Amino acid sequence: MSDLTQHFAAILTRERALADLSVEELGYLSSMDKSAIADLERGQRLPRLDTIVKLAGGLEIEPCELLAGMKYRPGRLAPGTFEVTDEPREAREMTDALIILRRFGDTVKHHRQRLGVSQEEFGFRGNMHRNDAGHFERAERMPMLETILKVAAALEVSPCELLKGMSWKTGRLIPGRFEFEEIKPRPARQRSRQERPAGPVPGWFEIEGRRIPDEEAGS
Amino acid sequence: MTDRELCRRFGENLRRCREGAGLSLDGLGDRANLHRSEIEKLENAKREPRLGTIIKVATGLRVSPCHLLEGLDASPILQETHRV
Repeated sequence: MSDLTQHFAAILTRERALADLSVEELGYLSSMDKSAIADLERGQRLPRLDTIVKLAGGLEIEPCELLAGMKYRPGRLAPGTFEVTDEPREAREMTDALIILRRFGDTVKHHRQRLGVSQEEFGFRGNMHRNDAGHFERAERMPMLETILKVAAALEVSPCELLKGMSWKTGRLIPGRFEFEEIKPRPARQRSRQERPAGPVPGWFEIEGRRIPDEEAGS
Repeated sequence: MTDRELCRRFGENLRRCREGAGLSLDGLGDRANLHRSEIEKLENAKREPRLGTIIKVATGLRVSPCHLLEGLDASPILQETHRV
């Protein structure tokens, strides 16, 4: 919020200087109190939409020029990731489930070899297809609950043992934020100095050529 | 214990852990990055969980996956099959 008001303050101050207007004169041209303009230039408040349009009118520029260099970067979802303990850093950063499949496969292979059984015999023990051991050991297949339990029984270990060290890093929402570009210098404009009327003359808004009275002007 | 029975026990473990942690379906869903309906299906044994889902749910509950696999054993299924 304060960055936004500071940025707007800097743009307004610059545009007023380029237009060669005093705070009082701009207040007059925009049907605003000069103290309101001074507050905006000190970065003490955010302008309302109608204020931006009125100030742009008084400065004889497009309203968008008062918003130059302001951007809002939208929020996004940082995806979650699987993690396993004791893996090198590059493996930790894998975003898909491959990292836990690999760990599962390594554990299966370790226990199968510990028992001294072939892949084929392992398949028979677990009432699975003879190729299943190979699929798991090469991290080619995501096992389901029943398979995990069958594999554990076939390897004579607790199911926990097969899931050891695996965790999920929860994805989260990264909130949006404002971003500001540097304010670029631009040349002063030639401005036709008009004769100022003695009293206040209320301005008006225009939307696609339609005239909308400014109800706050002159009050 | 049949495979259906395995899913039912897993679902019971899941519901017990979730309620023990004082989490709603949405609360656990946010932590585990799963939709509430998926957690509901797991609790009601309408779906068999995959390895990745078990890890996600356990992490969301801040428990070891072992807690979710408590009382689950496929040995009887295998013995039954091998006897025939």
